[in-house]
Amino acid sequence: MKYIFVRLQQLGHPFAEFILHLGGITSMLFEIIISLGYPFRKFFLIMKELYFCGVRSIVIITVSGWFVGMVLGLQGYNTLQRFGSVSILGSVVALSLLRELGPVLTAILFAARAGSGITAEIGLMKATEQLDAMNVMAVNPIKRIVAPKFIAGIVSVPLLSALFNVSGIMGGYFVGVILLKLDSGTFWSQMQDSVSLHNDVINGIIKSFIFGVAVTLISVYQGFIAKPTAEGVAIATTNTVVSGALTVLALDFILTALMF
Amino acid sequence: MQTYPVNVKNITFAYDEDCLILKNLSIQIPKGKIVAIMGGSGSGKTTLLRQISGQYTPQSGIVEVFGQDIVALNEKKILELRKRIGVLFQFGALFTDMSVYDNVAFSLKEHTNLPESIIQKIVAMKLNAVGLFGTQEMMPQELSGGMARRVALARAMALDPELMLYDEPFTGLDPISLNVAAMLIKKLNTALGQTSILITHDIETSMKIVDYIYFMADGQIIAKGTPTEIHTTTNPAVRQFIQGKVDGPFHYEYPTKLDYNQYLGVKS
Amino acid sequence: MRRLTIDLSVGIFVLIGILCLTFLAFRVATSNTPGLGATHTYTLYANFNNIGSLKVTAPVKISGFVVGRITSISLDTKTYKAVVIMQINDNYKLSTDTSAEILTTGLLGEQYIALQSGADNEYLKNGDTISITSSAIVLEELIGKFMTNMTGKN
Repeated sequence: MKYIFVRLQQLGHPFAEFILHLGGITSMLFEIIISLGYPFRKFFLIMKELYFCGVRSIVIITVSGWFVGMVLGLQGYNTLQRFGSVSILGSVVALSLLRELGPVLTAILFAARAGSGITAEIGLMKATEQLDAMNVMAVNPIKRIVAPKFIAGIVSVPLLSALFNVSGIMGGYFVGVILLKLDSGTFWSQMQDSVSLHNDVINGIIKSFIFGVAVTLISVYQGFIAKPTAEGVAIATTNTVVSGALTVLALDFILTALMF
Repeated sequence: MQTYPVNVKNITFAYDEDCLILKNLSIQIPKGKIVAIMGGSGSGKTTLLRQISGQYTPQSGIVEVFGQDIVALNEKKILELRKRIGVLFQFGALFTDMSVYDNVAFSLKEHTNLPESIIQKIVAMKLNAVGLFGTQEMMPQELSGGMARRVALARAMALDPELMLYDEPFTGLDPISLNVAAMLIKKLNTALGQTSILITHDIETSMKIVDYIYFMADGQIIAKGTPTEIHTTTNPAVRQFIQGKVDGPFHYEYPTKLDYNQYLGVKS
Repeated sequence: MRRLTIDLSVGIFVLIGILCLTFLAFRVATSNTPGLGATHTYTLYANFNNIGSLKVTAPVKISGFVVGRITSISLDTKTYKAVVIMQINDNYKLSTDTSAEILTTGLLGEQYIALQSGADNEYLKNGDTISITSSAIVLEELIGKFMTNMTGKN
């Protein structure tokens, strides 16, 4: 047993640490699930978190979606023009967004904006002994602080993804129809023809939900295990964004392979 | 046979495997008394307090609070136990996203079913006891350090605990607040019949209010007695501490193998 | 007062999100996919000598309009013909002498089944088989025919 442990450590510190963190995150997920009753009884906790994660992210998501959609419109037009197939621009924009860019980019932007905020907040509470104070007053911080944030995250991300997609499609429409003078009818009808509810829209929603779980979980976990110093919180925040982004991309590959 | 509210038997504790903080420590705190645990920085005082409050578990030994081994307790029993213990953290540790009122009312809202009107009155009483009635609507960020600590005291007292643990309550306070804090601790202790444990290295102030002192160094208890006994003790470590002398059993200088004069290039 | 702001904005946020989801589901995605679940469909069978590159979710069209989807393609081990099972939207009735052809979208696009309704007064019911079928055009056969024609002329 010790031999395996030594070998694991030799494989590289990062790898052994990764396994440890994986275990830590799973046990945190379990603890969150069993404390879910509490935040639902004190619903205002969830509302407050929904405000900070969701409402505050509306601007960045809408604007980013719009720009991404516009770029898709431009790039799509450039490439399709060579094959004389500009008429399918609507499909290209919609499918790229619904299947991939919407869920993935939304999740990464969420990790950067809301996720880092969550990590910083929890880390700071740990550094100022607030979590300890809660513990000695016999209130488990998991149910009071972590669970509401988790619920807010997994609700916000799919909604924000939908917003991103709509914004993007509008951006693509703006570039394609208004700027590049494509036919509006063709744009929408081609899109409707090629986008299927099941394969594209619903799969996209499932993806964004799973990404939401992953990113929110990473955010709260990093905050919880942060070293209670200024440096510790800074490192934890960076970790949230980096591991969040990488996890989303890795999960995206797995999910795409499974779904499409 | 008197049952001590706090009975620590032979505990050892280390954060990491290599650095032992508490070494085979035993301590009994009698009921209704104010006990100070003193010692230099790094002697393990705060760690000991954390063992008693249940935040950390010793590697070996037993920590008994109100006659129950806190290590062996399940979730529900720990909850019951914690309602009887109040902890005051060094800098207050108020919840920054809540108002003063919400902070003080926290335990009441979580652990009792009292109606809002009664809770408001209790919060008012607790704040009044620490001299901060009227600050209910303020946020922790708006309070000064001393005020924050007093609010934290009101919060810790919300359920009228039988055992109070104070982590360095006098550190960093101005002379007035120092006196006020000391008087407050004494007043509450007498009024509620509490058992109070203070972690501190403020000799002067604690001598005024404590009934018994434990002296710690290097994870062990090296001296104990009433304030008078400690004042007249011949224990060199204690004497050094009380008089604030640089030389003595406590090392002021970091134990290094380097030679200072040689380092500077000066011939010794 | 602050509570009010939070509640209001969260409500608006969730509303916007749901509206977006609805928009995506109904205005962006295909509206008459039998897969939407609410539409009622009936099953028809068709046998082909060669299905070419026909795939399972390919559309079934009448005059270019999608009326159904292919739900299964299998091989009949007795006749060694390909059996295609399709779901047709209940709104569209087909006569019993309807013919089914496998056509290609555009020049090299995906293949689909095109139905041509006949003149019969009776209609195909759930579970019926379309008797008149035309297999997919395989490019190699076409070229082969062309080559034969060319050499034949010479």
